[in-house]
Amino acid sequence: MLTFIIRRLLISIPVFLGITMLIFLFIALAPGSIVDALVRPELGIDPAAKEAIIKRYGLDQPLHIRYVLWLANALQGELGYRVASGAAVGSEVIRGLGASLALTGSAMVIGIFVGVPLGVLSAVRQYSKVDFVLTATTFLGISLPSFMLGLGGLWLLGLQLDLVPIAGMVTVGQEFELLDFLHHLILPALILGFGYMAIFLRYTRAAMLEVIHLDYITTARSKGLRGSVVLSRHAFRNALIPIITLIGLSIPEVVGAAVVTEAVFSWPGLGLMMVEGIQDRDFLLIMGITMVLALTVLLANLLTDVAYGYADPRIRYS
Amino acid sequence: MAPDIASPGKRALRRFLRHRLAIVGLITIAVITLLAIVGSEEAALALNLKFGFTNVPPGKLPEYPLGTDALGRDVLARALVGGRISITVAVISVAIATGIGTLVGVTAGYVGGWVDMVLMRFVDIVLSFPIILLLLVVAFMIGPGLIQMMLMIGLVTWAGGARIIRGQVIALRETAFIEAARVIGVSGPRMVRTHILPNIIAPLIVFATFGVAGVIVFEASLSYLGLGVQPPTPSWGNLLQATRVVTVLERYTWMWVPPATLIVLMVLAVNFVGDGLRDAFDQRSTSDR
Repeated sequence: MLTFIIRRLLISIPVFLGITMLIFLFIALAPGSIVDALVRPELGIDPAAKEAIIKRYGLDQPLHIRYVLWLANALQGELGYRVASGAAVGSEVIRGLGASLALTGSAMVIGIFVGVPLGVLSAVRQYSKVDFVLTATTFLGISLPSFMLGLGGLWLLGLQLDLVPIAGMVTVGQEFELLDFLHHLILPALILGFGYMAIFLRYTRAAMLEVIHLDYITTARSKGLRGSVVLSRHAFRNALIPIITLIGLSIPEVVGAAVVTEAVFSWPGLGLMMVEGIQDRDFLLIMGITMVLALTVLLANLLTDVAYGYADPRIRYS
Repeated sequence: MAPDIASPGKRALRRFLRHRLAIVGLITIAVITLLAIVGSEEAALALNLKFGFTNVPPGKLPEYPLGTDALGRDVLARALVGGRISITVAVISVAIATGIGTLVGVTAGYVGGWVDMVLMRFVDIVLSFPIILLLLVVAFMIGPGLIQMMLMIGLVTWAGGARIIRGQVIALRETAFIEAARVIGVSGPRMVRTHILPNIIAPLIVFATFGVAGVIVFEASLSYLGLGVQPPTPSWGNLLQATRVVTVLERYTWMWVPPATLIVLMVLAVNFVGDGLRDAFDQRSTSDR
């Protein structure tokens, strides 16, 4: 297993470099430049000043030189500075990642720890009232955009009933307090969590229904094993693979994929930061965020493969 | 009772018509689309900055049944014309995505070998990134706008379709009638056109239907973030931009509730229809109920 992990990590290095190269190429080819971000194009700019800015940001160099320079700096943790504020991209991205992780991560935890058990229940009681209600809830959770739930929730709970704060991660001008943070977190996390719960419920239900009628389950039951043992040891273990796949595919979403929810609740996460970066045409910030995204995707893929090995002993890596 | 000799298409249609929620969904879609078509573009764009005509709540002025926005524009007309834009974006992006997905999926599944491996590895990579973040990266590259957005969504959402289609084509390739066709010398392109495509139309329709629901949400999200359809052209997404002002969200609810309601209704309706189609096409449910 250890050799497998090491080999996968080694393979990940060229893949990662390839991804950064592609993204760099695409982003560099995008129309509009940092000059337009610093000076509004319709105002016009003195050609000499424009030349100076282009030189200063190294935009006069050929593309491959620019990539190598960016990479050399990035490997030393130098990701450059934001156009809008001059803050270091590295520390900005880490701050945003922390905020996104707190929001999407807690939503995902809610989704998994509520959705998976309910999915098992729904499958075990197939065609019962419970199953019907859970299936209907799942349909709503998957179909209703968290965007609309966010606006509605904010209007009702934040503005009409005044139960939760309407913006941000902490109260502005106050020292960080856990309770205050949780108070800000609860509504967006529950709204996102509802969506995740629905997806995990649907997948778990389907995966359990695949295995629950197989012969070996009947065998286990007729051996006289208790129902709970059959469910947890025999059925659920074999339903785990699709659930792990789904978790693995969901992990990269902590890198700001809840961008609209972040925008609705003014949550200072990576997604919202990326939108700001697009508006500022901030090449370095977008590069920094996409790099974190690519790393997360690679790491999530590796984790998923390792988890497969634990969940299913038939899968062996050598 | 006489044996059921109806064609698979007729059987699917019959099953679909018995799916009550899907029919409700279909009617909802038809009504919203019709309203969106008749909505007046002129009224949606006409400013009325005169005193007493801006921020008017519903029911105060007879010519503005749902009130006016901050620039005195007709909220009803904007919600309807916005729907026209959003539905158009959804249909065109889904057409692009389905086209690319079918091309890649059929090529990978039919040609097989290393072509299949390369294409599917690429699909895996695309699918392992969250769609909305890919959209943001592409938005950075090609900028905001109506046409840009259709392209961008089409170019980012095809991968799931490619995977489904490939699976279908591989299953189909092993069947006797395809083998028979190959034996009598049917050429590759003709095989795809006359034997493969007609047999994968069902999963394609289901993919495209759910795709429309997805794209309506993507359009709303991108335009809300200011990266999609640009004002003054209304779209369901950019009408919701008004809610970024707390006063609008809190007190001027008539400005954002109509587009928000239409989005929710449309997305639910399309999902109902998608569910109905999936059940109707399901090969496993051989019973005619």
